[in-house]
Amino acid sequence: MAALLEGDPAPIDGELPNKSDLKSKPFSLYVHVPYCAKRCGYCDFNTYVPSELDKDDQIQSWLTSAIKELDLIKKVTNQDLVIDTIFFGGGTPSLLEPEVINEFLENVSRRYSLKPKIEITLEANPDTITQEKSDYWLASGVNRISIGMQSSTKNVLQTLDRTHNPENVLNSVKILKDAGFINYSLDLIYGTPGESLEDWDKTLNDALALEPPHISAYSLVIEPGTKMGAQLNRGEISNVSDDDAADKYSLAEQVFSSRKYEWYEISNWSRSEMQCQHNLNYWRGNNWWGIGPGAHSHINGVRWWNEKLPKNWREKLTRNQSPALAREILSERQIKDENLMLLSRLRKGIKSKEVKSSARNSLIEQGLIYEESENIVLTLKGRLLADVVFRHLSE
Amino acid sequence: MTIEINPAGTTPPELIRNFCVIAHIDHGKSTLADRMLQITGVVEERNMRAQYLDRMDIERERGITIKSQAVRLPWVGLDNKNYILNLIDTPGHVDFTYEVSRSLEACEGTILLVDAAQGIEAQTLANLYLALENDMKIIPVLNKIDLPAAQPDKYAAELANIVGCKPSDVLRVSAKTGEGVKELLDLVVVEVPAPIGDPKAPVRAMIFDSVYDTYRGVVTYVRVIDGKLTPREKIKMMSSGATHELLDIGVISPEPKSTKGLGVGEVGYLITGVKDVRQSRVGDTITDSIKPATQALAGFRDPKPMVFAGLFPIDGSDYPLLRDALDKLQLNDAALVYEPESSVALGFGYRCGFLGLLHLEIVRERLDREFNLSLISTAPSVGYRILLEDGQEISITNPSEFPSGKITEIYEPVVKATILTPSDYIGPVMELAQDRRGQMHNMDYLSEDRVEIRYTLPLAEIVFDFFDQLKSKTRGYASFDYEPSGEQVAELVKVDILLHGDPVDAFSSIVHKDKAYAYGVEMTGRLKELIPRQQFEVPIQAAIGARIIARETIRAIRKDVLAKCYGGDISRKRKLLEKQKEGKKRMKMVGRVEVPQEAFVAALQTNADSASKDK
Repeated sequence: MAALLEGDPAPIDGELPNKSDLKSKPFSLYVHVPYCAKRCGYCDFNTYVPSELDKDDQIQSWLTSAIKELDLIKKVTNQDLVIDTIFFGGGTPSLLEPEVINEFLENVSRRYSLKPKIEITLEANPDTITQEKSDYWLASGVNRISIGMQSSTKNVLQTLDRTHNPENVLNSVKILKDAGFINYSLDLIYGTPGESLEDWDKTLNDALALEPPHISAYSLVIEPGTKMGAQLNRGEISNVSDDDAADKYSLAEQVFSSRKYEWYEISNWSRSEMQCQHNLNYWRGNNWWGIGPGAHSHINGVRWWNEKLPKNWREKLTRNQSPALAREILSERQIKDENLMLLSRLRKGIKSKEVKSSARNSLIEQGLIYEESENIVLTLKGRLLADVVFRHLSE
Repeated sequence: MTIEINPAGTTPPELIRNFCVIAHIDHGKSTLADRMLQITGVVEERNMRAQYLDRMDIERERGITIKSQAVRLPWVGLDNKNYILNLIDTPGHVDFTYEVSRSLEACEGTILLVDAAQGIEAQTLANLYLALENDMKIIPVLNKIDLPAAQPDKYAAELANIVGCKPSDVLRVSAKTGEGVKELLDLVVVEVPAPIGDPKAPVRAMIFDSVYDTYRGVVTYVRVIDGKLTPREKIKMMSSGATHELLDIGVISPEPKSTKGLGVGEVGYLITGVKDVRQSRVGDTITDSIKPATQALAGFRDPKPMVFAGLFPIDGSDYPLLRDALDKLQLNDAALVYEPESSVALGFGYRCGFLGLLHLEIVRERLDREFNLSLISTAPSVGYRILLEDGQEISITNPSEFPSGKITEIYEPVVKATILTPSDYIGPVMELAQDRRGQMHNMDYLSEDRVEIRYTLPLAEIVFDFFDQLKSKTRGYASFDYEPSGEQVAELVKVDILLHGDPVDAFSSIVHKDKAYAYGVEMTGRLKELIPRQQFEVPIQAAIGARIIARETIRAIRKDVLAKCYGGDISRKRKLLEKQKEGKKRMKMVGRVEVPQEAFVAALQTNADSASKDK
């Protein structure tokens, strides 16, 4: 698991220094469901398998605390907000009983109005998608499923410790489509040790054969402290070179664009109008509250993150306290940097005039960005070197 | 406390014996001195501590003696007369040959102390030759006879062979247990000649050591040859003509003790209030300023730096601290020279001159230990004399001074080297010496299985990692000594290392033309590993003038982006980027190439480390 972030102490009551104009920006909910049947070898998210948790903190107890956190939001924001998007992430949210998801969403509706045609996403493991669940999800308001496909190559899935069979993805998509889901995304991972360029090409084509409206593709990062991190240390697997990752990214871009998928963020492609609205809110610096153990939130320049352990999260909420572990109040400079860092990742780019002309010209000269109407946008080379671009821009 | 019958200043020369001990590191010289202090009663049992005479921490820890000291020991001889034995300690390392020669000059006899388990070492042999040249009486002694591994018969035969005596004449002692030390002192009285000098002549005293003391200023150690030094007298340094008042004069026994003066043959200290050892130089002659001697004692020479290196603070803001530290060290180290230097790669620092590699290492270590300075040192180099086509002659100590114009001839310093090795390793030793452009002169068997080989070697070839190589090729058994021996013409070139077409000064090196290619390949390869990929392809080239002799390429970086950046990643990612931005500020720009300071440090450290391990 990733190391704890350093931050300032968060107030016990969850109070915020600035709650004005909350309605002027989209306000989203992120809902963290930190449970997995088995942890994947590369995973450094805040997730737990049943054996790691006390009886009181198993998946069954999640809803009670989650609803308490909903109450806390109401108390702290103290406004009638319109919820813009909801995203169930994990962990494996699809492990939750569909009734629990339904009840949670009903609890949201009781407290807030939802934006018309609100996007509600649920991350799902292909193994856990059934017809019954799909029907229930859709009936509860979930209208977007993000499927952790990762790869269609067996040996790659094995290295990643994924439990599913490649065929399950095919079945899942069929179930979802049959149930009436229009919007779903396939999540892919490239750069797994042992994955050839041909493997990746196969994965890309297999994914596109399912005609997903949306695809994410991430280069694998082997973090210290994960099972794969340990394997790396022991020399059982070897790290994949950046060149390999660059080749695979370029191949993905080529395959996707030839099939009319357009990149709208460095690692995300979609067909028209099917971008993930929830994620766009992150990149646009909008506000959201993260519910659940370890969830991060952002409201008006304050970022905070919850207790990671389900037990600590539950106990704080039981005491009617904020489950926040720590927070940071961003300086003007940090807000500016974050905006640069996040908006520059988007296809839309950032306003040219917000960038020093010397940096802009140098980046254009290096072929990392180009100008498009009032904005500057990353080139393909620039997308692969986005951190370089950011460091230039924020100088 | 013994009562001294003939206090200093009045001791008749015939009752004085001045002697020193020649020994290799670890052969037990300091322990023998400890035992002598005890047996003669000048240090009481309860005040005794190991290596009593070695003052600096570094000396005690490394088991070597950097600065010598003289101690006055009363001893009743076998003839029942009250003798004064002056034990003059000698520095034990190759870099301090000149200081050793001055210490020897102050004595009439020397104990040749050899470990009975190891036999004689090259350095000891070299110092022994020095003593023999001075016509000194040699008393061969085997130490550590208490060790289970001792082979006294074998090494007594070896010593006898070298000194030209009978194996039975070699005294066997254990400095540790004290066995044989009494007999040794008696032997010193019998064997070492009494000093001879003219008590009526104007005073002449030779400085054989000079030490800076925080409280008293410079303490100068002298041996009186003629006449007498008295308190409050005005003295004159014969090399410079500078005069000083004698504030204190005395002997060490083993703590300083003021006396009414020092007469012919006597050894002691004097204090004049000067603050810098360069005002009281080893080898210089002291005389009376009113009734001066006309002729200085022979043998004075300025310490000449032989090895040069740039010292740069890793943290640039430490530069003023480095300057202060060098100033302070110089108070006690007449051989240390330095001048400011600036480097594109390493920033501001000092080009320093040292007597040799150990001297360099000691200075570095003291800067680190006593002044808490983290330093990076460039690869050590030597001084060259260069004749240009236009007839001009220049001397350089830094590759950056290498002329770009036409060169007629280059002279490099050479040394006479003595290598002692078990005969099993003659092959590898000769291979190594040959690889370092050594010219063999002769080879002598010291005993059946030990060989002395003499070479002339370019100094530049041994300042690198010669000691290490020698040790590793002989499993640590070979020993090595050298002394400067003039210069020779050599086909040398300067190899520059270019990064994206721009030279990196810290890596320029003057090497023999046959080794230029190997150096180029080595450095370009090393830098390729150390310099992070840039957004553009970066050639690393080694060049002689405009001619490229080796090339590596750092390919352009193609990916530098975090794929995932969602709600929970933002803070971490921003912090990471902030850190990268900070890191970028510490980057040094070589042309357009960003190089982390650590890369320079690492590239140089590999050199420095291999050159500075224990010899």
